[in-house]
Amino acid sequence: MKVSIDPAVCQGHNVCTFSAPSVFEADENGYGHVVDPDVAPEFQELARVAVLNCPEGAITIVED
Amino acid sequence: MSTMQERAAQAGLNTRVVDLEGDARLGVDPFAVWDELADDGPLLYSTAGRGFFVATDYDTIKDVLQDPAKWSSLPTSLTYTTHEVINSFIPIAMDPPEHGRYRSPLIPLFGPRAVKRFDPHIRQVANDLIDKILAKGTCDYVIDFASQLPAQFFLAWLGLGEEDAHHMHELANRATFGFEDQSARTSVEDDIGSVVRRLLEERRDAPRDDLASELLALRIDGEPIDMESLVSIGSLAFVAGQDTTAGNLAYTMLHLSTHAEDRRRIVDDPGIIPLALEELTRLYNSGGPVGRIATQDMELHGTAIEPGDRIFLARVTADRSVYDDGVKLDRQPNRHTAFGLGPHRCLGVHIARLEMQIALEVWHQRLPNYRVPPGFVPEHRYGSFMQQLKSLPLEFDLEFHDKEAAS
Ligand code: HEM
Ligand code: SF4
Repeated sequence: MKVSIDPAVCQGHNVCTFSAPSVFEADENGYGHVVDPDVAPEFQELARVAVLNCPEGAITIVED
Repeated sequence: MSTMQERAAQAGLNTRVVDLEGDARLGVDPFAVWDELADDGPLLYSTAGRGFFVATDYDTIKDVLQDPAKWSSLPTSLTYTTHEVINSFIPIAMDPPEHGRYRSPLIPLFGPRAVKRFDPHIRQVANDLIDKILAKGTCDYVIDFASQLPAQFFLAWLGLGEEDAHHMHELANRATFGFEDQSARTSVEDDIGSVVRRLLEERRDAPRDDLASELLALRIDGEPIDMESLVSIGSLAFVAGQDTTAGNLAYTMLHLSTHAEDRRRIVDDPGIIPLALEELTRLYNSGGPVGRIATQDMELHGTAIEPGDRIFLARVTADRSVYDDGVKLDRQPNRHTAFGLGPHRCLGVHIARLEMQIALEVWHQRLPNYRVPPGFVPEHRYGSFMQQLKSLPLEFDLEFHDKEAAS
């Protein structure tokens, strides 16, 4: 699974880091960043929750 | 050119009177009124005020708010009012790219890391308010807690002394409800502006560790921001953060004081508070005057839109209808628009979340057993884009209070 955040759409709600702290980290302004675009199997479910949680629809997942 | 109403009729949209200024049902059961709007599909037309479209689902609201080139915040985002009322605060009354130039430097001041340092102060304010309630023995949550916490915290952060707190809180309240006409609006904005201006002028000569001093130190393209703009920014932060947070807290506690199981859950597992707050914010938040004005010819749900058309985004309607399985305090995922979407997304979201989280944590630690008195019927102030709970009397068991906190 590959995950990415579109910086043009992300508005720094900081919801992704809360849903999946092992997959995303927030910068000091609250904008989400991907820790490692290749998501480890144990975190993939959390990453899917984060996609549905992001109010802006800024996160994209490409399943293997 | 045809009227909005004609084009709505051509597209087969339902027409209603969505009268936020006058519908008395909003004072009795506002959420029933908001829920009803979902029956008409994602877009409807309201003949109230000067006439406006109403978007009621998540996707339409998202499309509009994420596309400021097509849907502008100018000349005003107050689209539901009878008289055109212009709210001139920066950066809410701006479009990109100008909006971004003003918003970017503000973001770090309101970011999650910046606001985390206020945790002890907010906790102190919450504890002091509860001490007062215990000393008094009775409590109206709206008056004694919900409206106090954001006001006291914010005024101290901005740099105003406690002597201004009461007066300033009244002004903030006028600012969320004073949209009758332009002269009422201008008078509220002038009153707030003059307090903020006095503070900024004091800090210009003698900076301190407060938001007013931080604002003065901001630069846009290397240049300091002119005084007029700073007054506007300071005024918006002042207005946007108080009634919104207070209202959200009050509705959260109305829910918990009338749903004993949910209250119990929070007492037993305070770790759930951040999730519970998202859920209760999704269900009970109608704050934020989010309307937009069309800038070009386009189509929305088969309806022809022309420049100048007004749209009101019924966010609480959309948020309440995203899921259909009632209230779930641990809901995940939980997507909602309570803090807005797109470039104007609430700048204060991190501070609002922190204040509300601390408010619930401290309250449930110290006063876990509380309820509304028998026969209590909530009444809501209305007339604006948001409702406010007028009063929330709470009874609590004194013999239990503070035991858990002490042990
Ligand atoms: C529960 C509490 C709050 C809610 C529900 C809320 C809601 C909103 C909404 C919906 C918007 C978007 C308006 C638009 O798109 O036209 C907004 C913008 C804004 N909010 Fe909040 N807000 C809250 C608390 C706060 C606090 C505590 C502050 C500051 C201390 C704040 C400062 C702002 C500012 C400055 C903007 C304008 C941002 C811009 O235009 O770029 N808000 N808020
Ligand atoms: S939840 Fe979405 S908008 Fe918010 S920080 Fe994460 S990616 Fe960005």
